Amino acid sequence: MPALADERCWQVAGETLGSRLILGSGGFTDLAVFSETLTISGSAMVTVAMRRLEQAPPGLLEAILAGDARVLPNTAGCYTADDAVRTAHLAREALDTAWVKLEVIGHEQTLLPDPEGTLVAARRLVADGFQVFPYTSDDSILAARLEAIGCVAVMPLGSPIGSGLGILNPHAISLLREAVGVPVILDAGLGTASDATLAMELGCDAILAATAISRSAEPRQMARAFRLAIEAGWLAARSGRVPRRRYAHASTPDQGRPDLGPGTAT
Amino acid sequence: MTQGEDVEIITIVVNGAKTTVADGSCVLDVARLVGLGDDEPGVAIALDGVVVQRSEWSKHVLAADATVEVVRASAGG
Repeated sequence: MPALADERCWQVAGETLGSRLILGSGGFTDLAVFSETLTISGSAMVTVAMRRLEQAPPGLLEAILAGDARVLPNTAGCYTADDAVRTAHLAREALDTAWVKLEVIGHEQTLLPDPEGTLVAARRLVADGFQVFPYTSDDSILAARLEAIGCVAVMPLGSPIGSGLGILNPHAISLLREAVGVPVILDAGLGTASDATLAMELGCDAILAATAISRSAEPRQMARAFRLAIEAGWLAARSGRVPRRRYAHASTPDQGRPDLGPGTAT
Repeated sequence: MTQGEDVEIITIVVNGAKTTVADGSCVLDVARLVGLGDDEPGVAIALDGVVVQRSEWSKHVLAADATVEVVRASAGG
């Protein structure tokens, strides 16, 4: 049986992280609740965005760095490759990290990723020495191309950002898992803990949850649920689940059943 | 920047808002103008779309109509 550490630890970009849950810091209404949620989640990495000073109250970074979690800046809100690349450079300067979650959004209403813009930006950022974690669709061909140009992980969506619809196409995630060798981080759309379990059962290495935790009625409790769900899914994926059958398949043998003769049940 | 009686004023744009500063002001002056502390973590500044390293803030003098973006790490998924 795997050690507990295996359920939690994974490697990406040459580093070992002690949790398969990446916490998105967006959507929390209270910094104290965020801090407590981060602790309970056990998360080893937290995403942050870069925003103009007057729109970014201080305290978040200090709250993250007070624990053991590292920061993963994103390029959220960028609609062009150029904008995303510039934002990544700002993040590297601000946070002294070359890790970046690349988001190039293609549509305002769905927030689906722009595949062409993502590829263009990823190429430029890799060339600039970044460790790129691209937010992408569940297209395994695109994921393989992102890996080929040097991305250190891929982050397919389960469904649109913040939708809570869960993993709409598990088969696509499973195919994507087979198509790449870099870590797969299920990103976007998760609604509840069982979605995280499914992601892990499909072979993902980690998941990112923001809205599902931060906008739940009880973020701290939901964070614990995700933590447990991820471990459960990781273990189940390595435990050889039974095949799906059309008809029943009794687990209790017929052999040895007592013959009690005719009679009337009392 | 040197304060004097005949200091020229220029207009620049800081985070989308027009602002006047003394001619000869540098990026560091803008940082102080918006209230950044010397060791404040998680912040960065771009001048005309190009990131200026913190150690270089005092070396980049602003031209009229310069665009400055001052950003901080913020909540985001």
